[in-house]
Amino acid sequence: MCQSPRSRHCTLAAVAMAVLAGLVALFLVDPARPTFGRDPRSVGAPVLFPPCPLHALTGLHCPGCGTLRALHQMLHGNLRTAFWLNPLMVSSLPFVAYWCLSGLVREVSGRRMPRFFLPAAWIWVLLGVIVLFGIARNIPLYPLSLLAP
Amino acid sequence: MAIEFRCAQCGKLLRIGDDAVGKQARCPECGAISSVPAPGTLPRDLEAASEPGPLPPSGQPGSPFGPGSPGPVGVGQPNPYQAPGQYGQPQQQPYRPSALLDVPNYLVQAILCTVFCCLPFGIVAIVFAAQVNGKLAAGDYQGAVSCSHSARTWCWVSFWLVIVPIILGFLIMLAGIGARMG
Repeated sequence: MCQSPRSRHCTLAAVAMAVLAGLVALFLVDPARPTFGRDPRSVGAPVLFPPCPLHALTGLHCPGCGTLRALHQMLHGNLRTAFWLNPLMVSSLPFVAYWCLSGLVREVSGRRMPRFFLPAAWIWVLLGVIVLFGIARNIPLYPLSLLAP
Repeated sequence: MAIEFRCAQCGKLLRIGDDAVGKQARCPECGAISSVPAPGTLPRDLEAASEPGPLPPSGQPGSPFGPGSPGPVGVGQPNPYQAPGQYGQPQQQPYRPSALLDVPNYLVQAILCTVFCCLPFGIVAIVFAAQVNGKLAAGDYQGAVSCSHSARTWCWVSFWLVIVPIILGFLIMLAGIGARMG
């Protein structure tokens, strides 16, 4: 991917703005009270967050279910509530944040922050964890039911 | 075929694909940046004057916060059985990856696609991301690059398959509001 630094920076700026807009929207609107499908004029909040298609079709929770609600809670400081909405996503946030930060630092200043080379085996384990999480949170038995949003 | 040369700053033996001639490369040992020379153009003391040692076992993570790549590149120990200064053709060895050119594995993007875009294509992207790192550690640079491209493609597929319906739905909803108001 040999883009010029200029076009890479434009892409980065666009992505950053989209993410920022999303965070602002998440702060203002609680995705737990979706208004999708209802007449927006009858509800106070605008229709912003579409429901998860898998959940709408089957009622199952995918590994990402609860992410937006968890982010909303985190933006309002309720870390505990956020964690129990989607434990996997919340625990992965520090790593994602570090990855974003190191990418940003590399683009802006050219310096490389230390990055861990993840051996392939670890990535397979991670994939297994994600899939197992997606399965486990749909099982209504305690304590697995705690994983559901 | 690979180019071998020594870092001008620390002397570490580096190996890189010969399609990288003229590019900037960073020594994983000391971090010095140098241009990759065409084979046979360096002064003798910077040529790969000796055979690199045996291939280290693959899959070792190396130091956790190293320059972002495992040990396999550039063992650099002079072979005691070869006279110094002799630089014949290196034997045909399995192609070892270079630490100097980053092959992105798109793992974080793939995970985000899996989480935000309820489709299984995010998982496909994660599978390719795992293969990128596996092939890098095993020395298959070309394979790693092709898996990297596949991972990126599936991330984009996953992204657009979700974003397009959302945007369309949003526009339809706006049109609906406009129709009701008008």
